[in-house]
Amino acid sequence: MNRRVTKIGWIVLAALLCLSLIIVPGCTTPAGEEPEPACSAYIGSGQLDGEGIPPDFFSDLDVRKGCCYAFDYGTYIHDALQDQGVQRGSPVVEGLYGYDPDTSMYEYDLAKAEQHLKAAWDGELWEKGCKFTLLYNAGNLPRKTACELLAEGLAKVNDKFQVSIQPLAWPTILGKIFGTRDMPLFQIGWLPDYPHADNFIVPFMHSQGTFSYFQGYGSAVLDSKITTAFQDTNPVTQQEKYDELQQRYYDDAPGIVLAQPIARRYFTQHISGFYYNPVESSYVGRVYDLSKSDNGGAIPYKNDGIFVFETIGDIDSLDPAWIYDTASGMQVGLIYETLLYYAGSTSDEFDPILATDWAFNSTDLTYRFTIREGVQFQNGNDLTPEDVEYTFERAMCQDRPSGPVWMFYQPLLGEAVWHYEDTTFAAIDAAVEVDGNDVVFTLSGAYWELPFLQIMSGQWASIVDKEWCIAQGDWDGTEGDVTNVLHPQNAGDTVLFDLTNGTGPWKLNTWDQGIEIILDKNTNYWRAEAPFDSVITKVVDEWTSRKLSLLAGDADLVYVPATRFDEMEEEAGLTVYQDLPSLSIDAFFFNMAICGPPSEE
Amino acid sequence: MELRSYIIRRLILLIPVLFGVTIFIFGITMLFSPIERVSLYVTDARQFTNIPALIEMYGLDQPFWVQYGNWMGEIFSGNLGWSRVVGMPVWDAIWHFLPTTLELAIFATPIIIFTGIFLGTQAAAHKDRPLDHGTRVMAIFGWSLPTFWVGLVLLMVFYGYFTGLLPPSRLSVPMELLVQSAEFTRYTRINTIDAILNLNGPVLLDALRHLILPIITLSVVQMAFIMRLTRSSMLESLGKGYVLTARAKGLSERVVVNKHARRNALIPVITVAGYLFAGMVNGVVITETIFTFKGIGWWAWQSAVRLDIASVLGFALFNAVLFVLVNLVVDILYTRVDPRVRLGGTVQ
Repeated sequence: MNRRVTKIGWIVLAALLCLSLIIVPGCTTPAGEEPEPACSAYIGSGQLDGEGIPPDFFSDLDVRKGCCYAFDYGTYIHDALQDQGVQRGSPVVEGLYGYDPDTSMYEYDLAKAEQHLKAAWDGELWEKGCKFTLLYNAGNLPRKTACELLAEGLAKVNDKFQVSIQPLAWPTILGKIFGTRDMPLFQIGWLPDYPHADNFIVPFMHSQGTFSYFQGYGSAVLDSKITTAFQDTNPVTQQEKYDELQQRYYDDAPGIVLAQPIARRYFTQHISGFYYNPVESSYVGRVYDLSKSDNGGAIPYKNDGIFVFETIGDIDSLDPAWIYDTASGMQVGLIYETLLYYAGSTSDEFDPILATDWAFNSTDLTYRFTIREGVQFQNGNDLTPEDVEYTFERAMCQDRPSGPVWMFYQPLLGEAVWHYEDTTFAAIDAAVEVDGNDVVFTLSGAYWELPFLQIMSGQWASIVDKEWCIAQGDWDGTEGDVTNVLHPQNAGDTVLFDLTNGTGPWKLNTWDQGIEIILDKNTNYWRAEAPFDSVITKVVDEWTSRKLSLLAGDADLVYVPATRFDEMEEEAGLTVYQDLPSLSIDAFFFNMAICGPPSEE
Repeated sequence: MELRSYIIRRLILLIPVLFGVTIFIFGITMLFSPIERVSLYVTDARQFTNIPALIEMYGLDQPFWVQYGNWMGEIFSGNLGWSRVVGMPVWDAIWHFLPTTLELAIFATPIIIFTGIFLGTQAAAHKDRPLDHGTRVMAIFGWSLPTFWVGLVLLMVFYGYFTGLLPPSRLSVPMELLVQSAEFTRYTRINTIDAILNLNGPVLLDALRHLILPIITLSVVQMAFIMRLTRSSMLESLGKGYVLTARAKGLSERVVVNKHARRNALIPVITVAGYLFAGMVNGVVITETIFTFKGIGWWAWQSAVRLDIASVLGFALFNAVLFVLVNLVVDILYTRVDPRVRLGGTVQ
């Protein structure tokens, strides 16, 4: 009996081996080699014959404008975002420095859509019709709704416009946007690094931008306008230039700008002190300003002195120089502190934190930060200007691939510098210098004056303890040691991945990866003591579980996706903060050169 | 064949199994383009511009054999790779998430198996009588209910309607803080066992309270299968000549059913029970996710969804070893239940 089992085992194994050998040769060839004539499976015949679209279909301005008018923005905001969104005319959303509230916006107007589509391709399109497929990432309902609305709108204008819809996995969609480029339109969203119009205009409008490059939009003339606007040091003329660029996005219609989402927060009634700053990467806002006490109501009061937050998605790392996601940013922001931070709900005014004062000298381009005295790290070491210098030099010598460090290179070393290889150790060393109790940063241009402060308010600019870092085996501060820390592959390769020593109000107790993070109060904090003995962040994927935890008082705040706002309205005992504009935008991008031109990289 | 040499032979078989499994999974993952696979490293839209550099850095555009060879080389130096979805080495991740799953399996498997066998036996002994019909309806009902539905309904009733009665996750917040503190030693990371070893009553009770719902969810669905299997297997045994003989000898019905018929009926049940246990140890994704009882199933699911290939391969290796071992144990158990079975030989 067992011999037979063994034999079957061998046969199965052999079959598996053969199968994998069959699979293997196919895998080494890059995806996307579609047979002629159409280069993409999503554009039908690949010609303007009523059975497809040509690859340069969307290079016609009238096609793009026709689509913009055929999209029902009101229904999208109502159905897909549960009314929690505001239409915007350009990717620059409200709350960013440089936002222009007067940018024109497209409205849902089938007559105008008809007018443009009749003019498109010299009338040929209207006569013959077209056929293509819209793709969205499976499971993303707002994106699916957007595809349906565009398809319906076009069909209403002319029933020869046949648009079908197809879901695909997110990695596959990414591969199509940034690899094979065979989608006629793609939908994707953007979050800011720092709240400045430039941070949205470049990815959407620059010829080398994250999105515009892959849709074939942008020109040298436009690029120079973007650079000129950013480098204008006069706020009035700079705003005029940004107004013009935002209007330009409307005129060129390289995409359908969908909506700026409006967020909400649901706390139990026992929590007070929340205020919203859209710039804040943390979902919770400033935990240090919250407080918890029994306020009665429908939800039982539990876990006195402990703040419990349930969310989705674990953090990547606790190393300030590594983190580039909002979840990690929140935890690092509780353990560490930056030199300064956004004041209240503003995005261009700052409160002093670890720096007491700062001043910019526009002639020699130096930013001088005076470091606060009497602050100690959680292990008892004193905060010194050397720690600040080390923090930034360490980040720039670590240069985690795809990390946040480019935001230090650009203002300090110039716009040509994106990676460690683009500069020298001497230049990094000279860009940040200690002078008595001050730290002096030398900028590459006077126009970085405001964006630099915004960058310095991000959690990636959290100050670490030099002496302690070196004792833990981190970079020793010399050029010779750079190779040991440069370009870490995995988050765990950096020393500060799960070891922390900040100046913040809480310190790390446990990071149970994938499950929860427990922070305890720093009893040696330099400001008033923290309002909670512990802050617990749990990763809970299941919505029902999160909701019931909140209603049972086991959590004080949970992540509520926009699709659940309706059902939360029936619940009692909650403090709800509404109408909070998020600094993000989702858009449809017209691919003006489907399948190519192939990138030179 | 001698038990020891039998075990050794079976363990040697592990090598080709592991080789086959990894090459197969590696082959499948190669069906994804490098860009699709690099999406694991791109957590943010801001990183898209660096995609070509990332592909090169992680060697995702290398030919199959080079990538597989690199991975194998790392394995032989004791490195299973980095599990990005949970931010720790794959090897650590297995040991990090296994205790949670084991805790579920340790409690759920005996409940499922013994109750299932008991009910199945009773149903067969009372064939076509109300007890049989009753258990059959129960079985059909239990087997047809989707796990996520049972889990969510239980959660809504026992956590939502009876507010806070049986909460999700593994421990309540105060107990969690206690367990993570220096006063409590986590020997096994299985909370119930650790609580007993620390002689800590409150933690034990709290852990048990959190276990009730996931175990009911698992049992409702899985027990039906064991029950039906035992019943049909029992019916077959009860129709055999030796049962007639036993009854003719004047043995009590109890002895006939429990000793003569059931022992013979257990062989298929043991096979299934083995797989049931193995299936639970390699994770029960839905139950673990709904109740935030994050074990190895949750980890494997996250890894698969995000194309974290190092983790998926690590999980596959773990699974292969697990199933080979469970098969081995099941084979040995056969000889205990049925003396006619000889290891490596034939049924006489």
